[in-house]
Formats: sequence, C-alpha cells, structure tokens
Amino acid sequence: MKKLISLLPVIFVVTNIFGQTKLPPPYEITTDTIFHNISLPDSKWQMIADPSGKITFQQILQSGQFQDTDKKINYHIRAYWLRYRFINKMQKEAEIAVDASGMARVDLYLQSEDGSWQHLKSGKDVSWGKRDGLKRAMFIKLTIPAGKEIMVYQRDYFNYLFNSPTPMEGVHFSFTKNVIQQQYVDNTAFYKQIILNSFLLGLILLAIIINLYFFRIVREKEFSYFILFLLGMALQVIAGLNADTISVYPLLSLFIYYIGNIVTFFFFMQFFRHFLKTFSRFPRWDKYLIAVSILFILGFSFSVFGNAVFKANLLRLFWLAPGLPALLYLVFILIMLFFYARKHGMAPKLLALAILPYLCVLLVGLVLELAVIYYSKEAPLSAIQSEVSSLNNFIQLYFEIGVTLSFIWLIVIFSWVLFLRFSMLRKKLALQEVEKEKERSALIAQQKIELEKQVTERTSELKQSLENLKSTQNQLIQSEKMASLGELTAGIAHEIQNPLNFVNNFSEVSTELVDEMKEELAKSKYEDANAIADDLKQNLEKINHHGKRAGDIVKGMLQHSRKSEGKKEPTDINALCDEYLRLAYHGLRAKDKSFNAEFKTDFDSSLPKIDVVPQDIGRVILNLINNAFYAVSEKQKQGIAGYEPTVWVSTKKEGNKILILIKDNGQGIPSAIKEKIFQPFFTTKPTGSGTGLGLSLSYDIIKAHGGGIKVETKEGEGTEFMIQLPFA
Amino acid sequence: MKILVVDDEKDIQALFQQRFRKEIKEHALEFAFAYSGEEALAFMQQHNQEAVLILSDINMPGMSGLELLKRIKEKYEKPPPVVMMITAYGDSENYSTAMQYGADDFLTKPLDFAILKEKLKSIPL
Repeated sequence: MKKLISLLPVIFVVTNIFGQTKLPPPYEITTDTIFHNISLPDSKWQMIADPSGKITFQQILQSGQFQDTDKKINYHIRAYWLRYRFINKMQKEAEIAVDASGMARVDLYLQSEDGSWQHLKSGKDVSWGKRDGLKRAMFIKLTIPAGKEIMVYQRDYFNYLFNSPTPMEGVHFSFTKNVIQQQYVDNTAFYKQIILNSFLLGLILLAIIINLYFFRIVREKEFSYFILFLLGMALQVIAGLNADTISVYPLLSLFIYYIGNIVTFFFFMQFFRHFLKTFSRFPRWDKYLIAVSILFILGFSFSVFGNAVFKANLLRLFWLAPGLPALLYLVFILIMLFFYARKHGMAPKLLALAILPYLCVLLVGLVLELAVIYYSKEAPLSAIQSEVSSLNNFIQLYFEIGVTLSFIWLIVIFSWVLFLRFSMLRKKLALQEVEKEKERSALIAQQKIELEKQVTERTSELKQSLENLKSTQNQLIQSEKMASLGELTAGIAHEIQNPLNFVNNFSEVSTELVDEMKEELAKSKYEDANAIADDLKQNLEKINHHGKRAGDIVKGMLQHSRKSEGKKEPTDINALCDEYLRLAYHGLRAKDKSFNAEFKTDFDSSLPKIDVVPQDIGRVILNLINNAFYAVSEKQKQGIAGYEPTVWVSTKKEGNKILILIKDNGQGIPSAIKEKIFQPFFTTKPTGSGTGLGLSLSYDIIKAHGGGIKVETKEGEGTEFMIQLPFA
Repeated sequence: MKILVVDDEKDIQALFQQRFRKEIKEHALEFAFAYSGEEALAFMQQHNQEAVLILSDINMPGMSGLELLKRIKEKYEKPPPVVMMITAYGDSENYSTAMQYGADDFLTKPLDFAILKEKLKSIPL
C-alpha cells in the first residue's frame, strides 16, 4: 500500500518527463553547522519565467513548463517560478530559512504530508503584518522532519523600485538559528545605524527648535528655509530609521525618503540663495544654481523610479543621476561663497567649511561608484559577483557613516552661522528700536508744541466768545430793564397825574385867593387878608410838595432804567415796596383797563433801614409783584365764581434778616416747572410777552446782596415768594 | 348839605376846603373827609346818615370805592345817599360796575370843580 502511494508522484513525474522536464534532484541536508548563506546549486532547482506575472500556483501545478536554470538577466520579466526539493538526512529536524530579502516579494508553496499546500510569503513589498518567518530579516522558515523530503515551489517577484535589482540568482537559504544569530543577535551594524540615525534625528530636531526661536524673533526668510531644510533631513532620517519597523506598508518609507530628499535639496538651495542674496549679487550663478537644482530633482526622481519605469538595469545611474548635479550644485555654492567671503568675513567661510566634508564624501563616493561600474563591465558577471558585492557593502557603509557625519557637521556649523546672524540681526533690531524711540519722542515733542499752540488759539477764541457772551448778557439785562420800564410807564404816568392834579388845583385856587385877598385889602380888612395869605402860603407849600413828588417819581424812573452801577445806600424797604407796588398796580391798570385786583399790605414799621441798591431791589420787588398780578389776573379770566384776585405784600424782621413776602392767590406754579423758574429765558408767558429773564435777574440781584429767594406754591391756590435780605 | 369825600390822598381835604370856601362860609355846604372805604363806613355809622352826598375815589388801598358804594347802597336803603364815583380810569368796566351798584354819577380825574359845583346845585334836597 505504501508503495502504491509513493508511486503516484512517480507517475506525475513521468508525465512531466514526457511533457517537459523531470523534478530536480533534492538537496540533501546532512548537517546544520554551516554558518553562512547557502546558494542552492543550479542543478538542484528549475525555473519558469512569467513575463505576464499572472500565472497562478494552480496553473503551475497543472501545466508547469519548468526548465533548467537560466540566469540570463532579463529586466522585462519580473516574476519567476522556481521549484526544488530538500531532503533531511540528519537524525533531527532541520530548521532552515529561505532568503527573501533581495526581492520585492517571495511566495513559497510547501506540500504537507497529507498532500495539501501551505503558502508562506515575505519580501520588501509585503507589509509587516503579512510577512511569514523572520519578519525584519525577511527569511521564510521551513521545518523538515528527520529523514523527510520536502517539495518547494517558489515565486520571486521584482519591482525594481528603488532597490538594487539583483538578477534572478536562484535560491539562498540558511539555517534558522544562524540567521537569528547574525541578523538579531550579532547585528551590531543594525543597532549602530539606529543609534546614529536617532542621534542625527535628535540633533536635527534640536536645530529646528533653536532656529524656530531665532525665526520668531528676527523673522528673516533664511531661517525659515533652514528650518524647512532640516525638516526634509528629518524626513530622510525617519525613513532610514529601519523603515520596515515603523511602516505598515514598506513603500511609504520610500516615498517619505524621496520627498524628504527633495525638500532638503530645494530648501538648501533657497537658504543659500537668500543667505547670499544670490539673485541680486550673482545673478548668473543664481541661474546655474536653479538649473542644477532642477537637474538634481530630475536625476533623483530618475534614480528612484528609473529602474521600474524603464525596466532596465540602471542601477549604477542611481548615484550618478542625482549625484552629479548635487556635486555641481555644491561646487557652485562654494564658488559663490568664495566670492562673497572676500567681502563679508566670517559667515561665508564657515558655511564653506560646513559643506566641504559633505562635498568630499560625495566626491569620493562618486569615484567609488564609477570604479564599480567600470569594474563590473570589464569582468564577467559570475566571476566578480562576490567582489562587487563586498565593494557594494563597503560603499554602503562608507555612505552611511560619511554622510551622517558630514550632515552632523553641516547642521552644527549652519546653526552656528545662523546664530551669529541672529545675534547680529537682533543688535540691528535693537538699534532700530532705539532710533524709532528717538523719532517717536521727537514727534511727541513736536506734537506737544502744536498742541500748546492750538490750546492758545482755542483759549483766545474762547475768551472772545466769553466776551461776546458777557456783552450779550449785559444787553439782555438792559433790555429786561427797558421791558420792565415799559411795563412801568403807564403806572408812572398815573402816579405823576395825581400830584400834577394837586399842583393845578392848588395853583388855580391860589389865583382865586389872590383876587379875594385884593378885595379884602381894598376893604382894608387886614385880618381877613392875612388869613387868606396864610392859606396861600399853605397852598404854595402843597404845590411845592406835589411838584417834588412828581419829580421824585421821574427820578425813580430814570434810576430804574440806568445801568446797574447803583451804590448801596440806607433804604426804607417798606417805602420801596409801597412805591413799586403802586407802580406795578397802576402800570397794569393803565395797560389793561379791565384789570382789577385787590392788594393788601402789611408793613413792619420797626424795620431798620438797610444798605441796598434801591433800584435793584425795587426791580426785584416790581418783578415779583408784576408776576403776582399776572397770576391772579390769569386765574380771574377763568371766571371762577366768588374769586377775588388779591396780592399781599408784607415785610417782617426775623433775626438779622428782613423778609419781604409777596403772595398771591393765583394759579400757583406747576411742580414740573418749579425748578426752572429761576433759569434764564424761562417763561410761561406767551411769546413776546416776557423776556424770561425777570426771575433769573431777581435771583442774581438778591444773591449779590447776600440774600436769598424762596418760593412756596400750591397749584391752583397761589404762590408766595420770600426775599431774605441780611442787615449788618 | 353834608358831603362826605372819600380819597386816600390827604391833601384832597385842603383842596376841597379851598375850592368850596365860599359855600362853607355861607354854610351852604358842609364837608367831611375819610381816607379809606373803611373810614367812610365808620363815619356813616357814627353820624347816622348825616351825609347826603358821598364823593368817593375808586382806587384806594384796602376797600375800594366800588366796594364802598355797594355796601352803602345795600345798607342805607331809605333814603339812600347820593353817591358819586371819581376815578382816574374812565374805563367802561368801572363805569358799568359803578352804575350796576347804583352810583348816581361818575366823574373822572382831574376833577373839574366848576362842573362839580353845577352838579351839586342840581341835586334835589
């Protein structure tokens, strides 16, 4: 039975022999002590090239046209199918690991004992989580029980994207424990690289922070460009910091690296252009610089995508394409620095010093690359493989260390230069601030002078308007006086009429008496004549008295209209009140014949004479009495039955004050306007009837005499004004 | 005939006494004087309606002439004294009020004594 089962593959193989080829002989594993990688001898494996890349494992199983090994390099073909066998001749399990690290993707199909197929995969394009075996090292583990044989189908896939497209070399494998030892335990280079890159990244971040601080203060473009340059560098370092471990999709790190490179280069150029002001200082070199930069970006893109796009082995152009422009670019910058340094001391020299090591690293690297290209073209491929490989390793190491160190050097020196520039700019800024401050204070001083001038002008304008106001006020006061005089005229006329009547009557009677006296004298009745003469004398005295009375009235009127320069003189307040009461009453009667009101007086005869300006106080009394009469006459017009319009004028002594009370039973003052009555130009009379200055002037006059005016009023019932005048 | 003259001007007394000196001498007329309405009423009270004619000013402090007229005409009905009003203001309102209160005549200042004498003569007694 066992034989029968084992026959089956034989039949299959036989068909194959007839069809194409038979299975390759198995590779015998006799020991697991070999330390290095083992390449499967060409006789032990077979291959199918898959130009379409679309052949599936099922198709391979059913109709695989495997050929003997053919290592011709054909970069148009990206997928190859391989098959081989292992047989474990040891007494223990053989644990081996197939190398997938050189390829984008490797798929392994293993047949289990029950005939089913197991699928394992790894490679650069396989994301971390999907890799089988040793993920970072990209080795696929196989376990072969003691004495057993295992059949393996392998699919190699190349994408030629940014990796060195090693030609289809066949199968490499190692013993798992050895791989672990080499890649994980003894791999000091790997850890060195991590440490170095981490250090570089830290340095870059530090430089970014410092330059951000500088930029925040001086706001110069070159600082921002330098920061962006450093960011580009940081991207590159991050991409290089074992990208496989940090990216789910490995290609991402490639793009980060690509973008980082371009950013670095572009802003490195911008930094120099702005630092040296090349566009204005060296316009021609500036153009070269830009041209070379474009060349670099093109070259670099070519080196990354060229192999994939053109499907050819452009491996060695990888470094030449961007390297040559970069070199030129650095040389141009050095030339400009040289020109610039002749005039501008320290900074350019330092910058040149900063670039120089990187330039040297690049130059030497380029020479080495050229040597490899030359060497690999001269000798046959198979013969030089190991030498080229070791030279490549050396170049790799050389670049890693050289570039890292020269970058560190560059960053440190650049930061130093920028620090120098920063402190210079800060000094400049401080100086500018001082200048601005000076200008500002000068401006303020000038403004102060102008302001003072304006204030003087305004003050004189204000003075002028004050003068105008004063004279207007005087005119108003005068017109108020004249207005009240107008009100008085009728009263005065009436007052004069009475004494004049007496003068006329007494003089007429006297004429008659003279005739009678003559008759008596003719009759020699001397006694009678004498009696008549006495009467005559009395009459003449009366005439004189009434003439004087009329004269006094006229005098008072003149005094009233005179400008207020009146002197204070001892005045009988009672007489003054009486006089103005009459004037007011008769004045109103004369103006309005229908006017009729009672007035009652109650004068305190014990009042002392006090020092006042009589015509001023008279004016106040007149004004208040006039108002009182006006109020009662207004109320009378309402036609209230039994209403008797009455005005009371009385005087009183109270302590060291004389009180003049003027009371009416008129309409009273509404409380809403009570506060306003002493304001100038406030009046309740119809327009044209009052100036609105009466009470205001009265208030001023009484104030000037050291007294006060109070008002008590009840709407509808009447008003009482009380004037207080002190006496010494 | 007794005449009561009411006026707040005191000199009116001297004036009337001189103007009517002949009549006074001949005892044709007899004059009494009051210087306010109140005084006039008091006089009337005391002298029991001796005065036949009252000459009163209208504008006086305190009781006015019109008030006096009203009182007299109310109080002394039979026979009411003749009351003549004298005023400086010949306005119609004063006149009509005086007439309404029963004034017998209305004279304006300045007094024309010739006319007054004629009027006195015409008063039937």
